[in-house]
Amino acid sequence: MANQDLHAPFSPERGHASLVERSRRIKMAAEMGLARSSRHWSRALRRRLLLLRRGTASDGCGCQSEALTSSKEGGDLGVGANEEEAVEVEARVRALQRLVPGGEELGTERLFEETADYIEALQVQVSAMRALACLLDESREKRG
Amino acid sequence: MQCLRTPLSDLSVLERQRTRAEWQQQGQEQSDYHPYDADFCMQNLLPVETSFRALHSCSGGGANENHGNVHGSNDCFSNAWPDIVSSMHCPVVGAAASVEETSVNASSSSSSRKRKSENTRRSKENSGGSDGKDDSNCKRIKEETGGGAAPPEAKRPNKRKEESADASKENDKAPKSDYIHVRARRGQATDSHSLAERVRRERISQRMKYLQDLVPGCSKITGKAGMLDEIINYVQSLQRQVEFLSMKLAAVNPMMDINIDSFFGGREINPTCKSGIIPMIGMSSELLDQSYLQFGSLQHDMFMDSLDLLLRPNVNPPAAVSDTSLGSCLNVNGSSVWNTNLQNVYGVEFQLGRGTALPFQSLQGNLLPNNLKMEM
Repeated sequence: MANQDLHAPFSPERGHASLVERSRRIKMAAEMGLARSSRHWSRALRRRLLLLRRGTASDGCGCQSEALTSSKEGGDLGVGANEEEAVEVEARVRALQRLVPGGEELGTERLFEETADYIEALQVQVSAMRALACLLDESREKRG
Repeated sequence: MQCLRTPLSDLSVLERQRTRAEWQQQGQEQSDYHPYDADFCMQNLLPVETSFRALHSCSGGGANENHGNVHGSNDCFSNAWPDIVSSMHCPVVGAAASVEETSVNASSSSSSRKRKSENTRRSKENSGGSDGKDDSNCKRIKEETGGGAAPPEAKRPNKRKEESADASKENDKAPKSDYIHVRARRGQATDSHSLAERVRRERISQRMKYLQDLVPGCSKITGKAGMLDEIINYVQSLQRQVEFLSMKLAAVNPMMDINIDSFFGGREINPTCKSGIIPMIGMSSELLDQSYLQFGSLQHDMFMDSLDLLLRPNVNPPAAVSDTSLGSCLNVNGSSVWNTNLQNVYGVEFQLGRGTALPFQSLQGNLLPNNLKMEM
């Protein structure tokens, strides 16, 4: 059993690249976990991950056609008191669309639904990862 | 900084999922009785608020069910909003039906009768907690019946169950014919477009309210722009946390690594799986395999297979996980019962020494025990 690595001093230079690489893989694993549900954002995430996996980096960032954005919006989030408010809200909705995977194609209402589900999934994911990190930390301390 | 103190939203994820499972079950039960699910359009008007009532009312009920429902409620992730929408929590619907009864006489009489019977039956089945607030919404709902809701509803027929597709087709005719009488509010336009608009805006604001409850610290903020800001910040912070935690996980154990291909290849994508936990289990299994446990290769394969079993919805997860400490998990050494190992890994991840039967609740940051503080 090679436990000594756990106690070895952390060598930043050489270890850093592999750390980044491994963390990237871990993150991808986490995202794969997120991508398993059948929600719209989850399917979009799956598509993106598969694209990344196959090395096609072109659409990797999820830059779907933004032309679809305005189609379902209609700009009527509400009969806002001001035009400026509506514009502000619009800008934020677009920002949210970029954040939520697959959000660019969604209308406002669907976008909010997907956002809610996405947030919940992220919360669970973060909890799980945090728990795992604590677990590993404690186990490492115990052995150390 | 203590990793376990991060506040999540007040309604635990598990409770939400559990209630969604219940709603889905309820929806399925009732759809057996009445194939014509005509009420979803009206329920759409207030799915969220009723959902909160249900959540609050359900939160007190039986924590024992939670772990049993952990995987039963996995499908909630895939059907969140349709579940909420198809849930029959609202005696408001009953009120709306009574309005319809008085106003509708024409060819839709059969449908409205069905609606009414459906409503009364469902309202009986509603949890008591949902009655209070919904009455205040009754008046609002009375004025906006399915007519205005029809065109937006038609957008998502594929998300509903089959029986409700009939309703959407039927309601599509509503704006053109007047067989659904709609009462407009005083001083507002009555044409179908503005009604549809109003319904749509109502729904959007409901979603916003739901998001407001999800995002911590959002309740004090009024105004759409501010709330959207908070939501955006929260999503970004969650995404950053995932990145940070993956970096931390990589740092904590230099030997932990993941074979990405194993995620893409063998496993089918199960839409009802709990998202996010599986790679964690996969990671922990690799970790444990390499450094702590004396798993034989055969046992490791069995372990991975057991993960697949775990993911299937019909398999009951080890619900009553006995208190397994981390030590016992790590000291498992060629144990004959791989199922126990699975329980250990899975249970330890979620119990973290608490020994409770609420695996997911232990995931909530503020519930995890003190001895697992993560020093950063």
